[in-house]
Amino acid sequence: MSVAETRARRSFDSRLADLGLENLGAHDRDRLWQTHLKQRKLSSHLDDTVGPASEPSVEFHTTKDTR
Amino acid sequence: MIDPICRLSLTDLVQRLDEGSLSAGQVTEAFLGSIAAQNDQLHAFLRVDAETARARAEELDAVHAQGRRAGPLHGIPVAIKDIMDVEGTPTTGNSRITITARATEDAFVVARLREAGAVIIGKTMLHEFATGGPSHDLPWPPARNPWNADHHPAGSSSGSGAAVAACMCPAALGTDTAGSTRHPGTACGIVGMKPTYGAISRHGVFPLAFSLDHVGPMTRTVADNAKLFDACIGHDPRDPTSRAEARPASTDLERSIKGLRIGVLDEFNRLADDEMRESVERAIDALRELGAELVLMHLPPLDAYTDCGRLIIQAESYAVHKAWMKSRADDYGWRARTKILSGAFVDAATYIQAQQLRRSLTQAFDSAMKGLNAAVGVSSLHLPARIDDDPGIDATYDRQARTPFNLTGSPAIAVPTGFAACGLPLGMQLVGHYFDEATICRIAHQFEQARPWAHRFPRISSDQGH
Repeated sequence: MSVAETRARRSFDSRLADLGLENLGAHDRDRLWQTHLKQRKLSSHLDDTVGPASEPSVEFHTTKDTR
Repeated sequence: MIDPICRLSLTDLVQRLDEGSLSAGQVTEAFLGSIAAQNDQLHAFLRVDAETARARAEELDAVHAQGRRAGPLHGIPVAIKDIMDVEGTPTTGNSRITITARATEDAFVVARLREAGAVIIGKTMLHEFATGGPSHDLPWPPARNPWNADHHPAGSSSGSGAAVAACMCPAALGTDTAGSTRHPGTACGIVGMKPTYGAISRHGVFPLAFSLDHVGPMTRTVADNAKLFDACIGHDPRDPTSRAEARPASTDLERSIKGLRIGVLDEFNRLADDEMRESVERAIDALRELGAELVLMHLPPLDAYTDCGRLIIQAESYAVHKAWMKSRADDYGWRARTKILSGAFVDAATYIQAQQLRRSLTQAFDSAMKGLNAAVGVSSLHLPARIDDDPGIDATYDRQARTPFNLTGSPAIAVPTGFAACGLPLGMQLVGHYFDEATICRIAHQFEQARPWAHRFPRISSDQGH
């Protein structure tokens, strides 16, 4: 495991512990870890390809209900 | 024995109920019998409301006896995916974490169906909370594919697909966040539509991922699908995403498609298994013979769409389940638990970037659609794996060409194109312009007239039928 991966694994385990799921079974933990590795790759790709979030990409509507 | 009534299309049933050659009571009884004969094998329904359905049919027959008709679906049994509320019954999501033990009112779309005269016959099986993939550790066993019960029927609207294909009901509702009406449509050899985002209200439908969720009709023929869609639409002020622009889909079915320009999603098609791709290519030839002009269209790579969709589903579904994951993670089946929990690792900036990417992917599709009436391409890239083959399901389930149109919000309909050598169905999807369900239904209906499929029935129902 590379240094970056070791660091990522530590942060992954710590996040699971924060969620109270430190005892999650090995099968689930392994699937989540594999998914997380893919997420990291996608997130890094998004940093390279998507510009600054200067416009709303998720629509917001006011309720128009203030009276 | 399955009553021959169960093999009639919704359209035929409407006509016979209208002219009085069949009563709502007879029709309801026939489908209850079909469910009783097959459900132990297919697990398509997790709840059947026989007495309520019989009482409703009796009411409708009384209305007919007075020379009136409750609506366009008078006396038609419709099954509801068990993630939508039906008043007085539980909504389980096929999870130990029952969504509600007793819904206090119908989901908007269920209420629309009742107003149209439908008989709600029961709740259909689904993958837990509409996440993808069959799992054997849930309150109810997974639905099976009527064409070969060793294989899964796809999903997550798995029970709706199996029930319609096996003639246990003429119509069902499903939901579609990454292809879940079209996937069982293709895997079960029926018609599954994902309408335009906002065309059908989601009030009373438990969410998977709010910005990608759609409710959609599932039937055996295109004309039936359009009729069911027409009954479901209507603006709902209680769903902030509901739109008033939805228009009926059944208006132009008989019009020729001569001269229509249809884009071919060739780059997606080339990713499919040979049998799947060749079947869609033959369907494209048929559209050409019907007079349509087929032109190549180019989009960003399929992976760009599916990866973007996956991040959004992970983040949004975790937001729905965050509190339950904290207190009741053990109550989920392993597939839903791992799929939903993955969203706990998507940070807010990544989610927003994925939505930004979605916008540019949508613009790419919109611009490729300029000058075209619709697009055509594969729905599934692979046949459904055996239901006990977890590695096979992992390798094939999420590889598909449907998610792009959840991201764009465009209407898309999956229709059968034939059968693989192993006997499992094959299919394609047609994609349209926003709120133009009428054109994709017109193309699909004309294709169905040229290459009909609804006269073929799964062996399971044939064995027990005639």
